[in-house]
Amino acid sequence: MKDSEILERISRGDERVLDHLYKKYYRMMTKIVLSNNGTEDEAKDVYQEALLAFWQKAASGKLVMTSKISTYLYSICLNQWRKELDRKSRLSGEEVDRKEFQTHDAKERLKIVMDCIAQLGDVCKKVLTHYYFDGMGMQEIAEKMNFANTDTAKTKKYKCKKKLDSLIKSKYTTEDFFD
Amino acid sequence: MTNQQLEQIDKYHSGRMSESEMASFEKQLESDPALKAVSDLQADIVDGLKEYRKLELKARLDAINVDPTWMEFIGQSALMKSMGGVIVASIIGTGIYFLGEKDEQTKAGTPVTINAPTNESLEYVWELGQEEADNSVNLALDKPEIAKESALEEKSDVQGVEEQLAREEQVAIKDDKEVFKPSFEAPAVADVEEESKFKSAGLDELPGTSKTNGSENPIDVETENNRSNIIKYKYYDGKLFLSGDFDKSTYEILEINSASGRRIYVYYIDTYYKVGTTDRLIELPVVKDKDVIKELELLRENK
Repeated sequence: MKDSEILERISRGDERVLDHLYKKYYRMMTKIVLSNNGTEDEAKDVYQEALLAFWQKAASGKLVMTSKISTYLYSICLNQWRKELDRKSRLSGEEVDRKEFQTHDAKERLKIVMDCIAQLGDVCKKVLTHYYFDGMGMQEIAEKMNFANTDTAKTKKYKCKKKLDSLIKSKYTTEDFFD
Repeated sequence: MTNQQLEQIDKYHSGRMSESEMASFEKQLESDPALKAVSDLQADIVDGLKEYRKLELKARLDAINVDPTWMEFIGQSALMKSMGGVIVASIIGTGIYFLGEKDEQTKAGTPVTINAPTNESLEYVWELGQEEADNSVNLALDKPEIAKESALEEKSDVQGVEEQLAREEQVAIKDDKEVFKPSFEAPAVADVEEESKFKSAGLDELPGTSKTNGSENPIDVETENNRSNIIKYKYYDGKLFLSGDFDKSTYEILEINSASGRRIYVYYIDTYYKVGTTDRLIELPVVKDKDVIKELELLRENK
């Protein structure tokens, strides 16, 4: 598959391309971490983060490719792992979870939001995550979800978001996080 | 909160604002605490949606089997070099070794071999079979990985064809299953007078993989994969370079060390090829001699 075809399919939100890329470059990318004092898990984590960052940019159409996809992924992995090594050395070898830095409140709030998302129907979940994470346009969402037209996609997105907002607001108030 | 403001908040958090729009919106946020509060809530929600999707995609990726298939493995030319090494290692590891000094006699009675790369090469005297042939064996203490083989012996008793082979030969056949990796203490010279003692050391029960070198350096194999149906090769200085279409199957290198010297054959898709010495890339000649083929067949069957 050519890079141009890959990018085109990502912009349509075709996750099979993600599978393809993941498998194709797995050895190449995880090697960066593995050959620089990283564990298998760390290598996988760095690669997944890098690939998803690439996916997100490519899906939302914000990516201007000036190099091959592999080169691009390679540089993200390399940077990510450098940052991670840097962070580790600052912590002087202590095992501190990245999430420790999040405040307790922020963690609690994220948990509430995630719980509420889980309560939504599948269509709502898809429409909202495609819109907010993948950055897909209404046109692409409509095509991917087999909606009649972009207006349907817009309406769905609006209604789903409203539902999620109200779910979260009720939880936030009852649990006193939001005033 | 006006609809326009809500729309702006949504645009802001979904990353659909231009740089200038963002700058002006951030100014508004600073000066409007009510707007800021609504915006903060939206930030949480959008973060949650992003995290949700990320976890979903990561779970998808986790479910993908990333182990290369055998075909892919062969096809990855970057791996080919190390592949060659692996094959040589397993070849030697599995090897059917009847070894000995050139001028010593080893009847095919009970061959025992210990070969390993060595830092300190210790010489042990082994008494093999009734013929009491002495073999000098290099034993690496830091790598007690040993290839032991007994399969060939029966064959040589039965078949006259390879008597010449059976005398002193080092045959290597690729097959991981047949490799043993016993861990044991190197015996003192006095303890190893009888090979039977050694044999009973439980080597047969210790499967594993082994990287063992022969007493002579094993050949170094490097392959280049291409679409050509003709297998070409170069062989000099113990380095074998193969070029051809190896996607269809795995190849095997058969190495026979006998008194008359080392002979190397390649087996690939039901055909044997003879490796001569050449520093030019030439076509690998097919073995046509029926006796030789029979001999090689036996070696392969008995690996």
